[in-house]
Amino acid sequence: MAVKFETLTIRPSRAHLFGATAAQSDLEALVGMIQNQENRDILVCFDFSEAESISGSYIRATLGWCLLCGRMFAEGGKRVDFGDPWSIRPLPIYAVVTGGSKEVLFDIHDFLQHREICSLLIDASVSPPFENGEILGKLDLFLVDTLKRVASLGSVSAQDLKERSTEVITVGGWSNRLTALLSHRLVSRTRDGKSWKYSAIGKEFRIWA
Amino acid sequence: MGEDSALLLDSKNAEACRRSVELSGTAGVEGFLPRFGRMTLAGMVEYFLVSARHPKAGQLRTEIRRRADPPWIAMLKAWSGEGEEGQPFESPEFEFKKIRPQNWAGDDPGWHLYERRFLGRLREAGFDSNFANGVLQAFAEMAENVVQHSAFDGSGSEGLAGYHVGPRRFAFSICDLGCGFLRSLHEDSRWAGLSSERDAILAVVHKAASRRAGQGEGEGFKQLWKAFADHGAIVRLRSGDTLAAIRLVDGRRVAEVSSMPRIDGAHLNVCCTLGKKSSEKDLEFSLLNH
Repeated sequence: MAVKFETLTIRPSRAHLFGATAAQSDLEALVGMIQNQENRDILVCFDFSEAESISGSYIRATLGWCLLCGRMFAEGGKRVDFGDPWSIRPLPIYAVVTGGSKEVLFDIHDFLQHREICSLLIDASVSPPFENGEILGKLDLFLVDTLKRVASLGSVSAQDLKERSTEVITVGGWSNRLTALLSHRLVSRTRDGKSWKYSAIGKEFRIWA
Repeated sequence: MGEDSALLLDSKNAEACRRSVELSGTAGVEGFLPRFGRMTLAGMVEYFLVSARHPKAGQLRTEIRRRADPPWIAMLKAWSGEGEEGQPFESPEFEFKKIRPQNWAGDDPGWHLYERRFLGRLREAGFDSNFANGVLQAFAEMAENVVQHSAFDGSGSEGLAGYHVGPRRFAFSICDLGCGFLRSLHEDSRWAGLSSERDAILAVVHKAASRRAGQGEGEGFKQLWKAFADHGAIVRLRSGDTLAAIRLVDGRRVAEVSSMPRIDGAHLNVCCTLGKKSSEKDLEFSLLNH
């Protein structure tokens, strides 16, 4: 059974997106959502259709912040800085991107790649699993392969992948790959008895180019 | 005016100017400042910064205004908020604007118009659109740093922005009365080991250090380096007891660091002249008529 997401689309209506302060202002709706639904998985879709340019500080404070908070949640991390409302803290967030000019997407891709994180570029802002997802940023090719396997199989455990694979990879190896994909917020997971079942947030994936 | 009227108030002697004022009170302003017939944007802003926390700062500003030099008046009016909503002091060459954290958030119409005017003047001065847009983005990012990082509690302190544009050359300054680079970076455990302003400035210049824990490199200064990558600009960073002059040479940042008397706050100044190795002295306010 796949996770059910609360979805939120953030569509800044400005041509030029820059600065962390403006970015934090754009995230106000998300902050409200987090306060009201602390334990629900939230999927944030950043719709950059109206953007002509975007700065690193804006990406860092929006998409980057969401991805890192989501990663901290997936990895069971603890919040350290309680004084700063924009410090990284564990939040059940997934973040994807839609729209955006080639230049804007390149800047996002470049930002994510440099930080060795990734996000998904989708066609339209609808609920997951998304029909076509393009991976922005950096994702290990082994993880891309694993992600495609998960997407094709639906809901799987590490044991399922081991049984369906001819490669010499242990259950622990598959488990590591799945948890890495969870950290990248490209799969969700639900408890299934003693094991976890993972589902991809898209149906088909390719590297953005 | 005597021979001394040709003296230049720049970022290097602003501190000496303040010390003179400190020694002789307001008489120092009247006795010292008039000797400077020329000044640079960096010199003015540096003087503003080093005297801002002086016990007689208000009185000193009044005395400075009595000199009626347009750049000084424009700077002090901007700081005091005069003309904020109505008629800002405008000149074809220079303009100042206060940075107010409480109404920043990218939707301050006054700031937006201010940026547009700066952009327009850059284009009129001979800078192509791509470069001018990059400069404006860097300028905005540096002003934003005041809001995001200048106060130790994260709430932001007030700052001042100014630009000065001439034919094929410009300068801009951003300063604040906040905590400086070192204290700001100490908020992130990764940079807690930095022990001096010098190290803090160099960490920002060479390692993209940022105070936000766990969020990787800072992005604001990257924009600055990107905008000025191959234009011979010089970037000055002043924080605490350190001044760093940074030149971009073949894609590298070469920093020349010197010790200064300690101040509260920080000052960033950029000077750029098309087609040559830039110098702060390429663009001056001439006050010889006063």
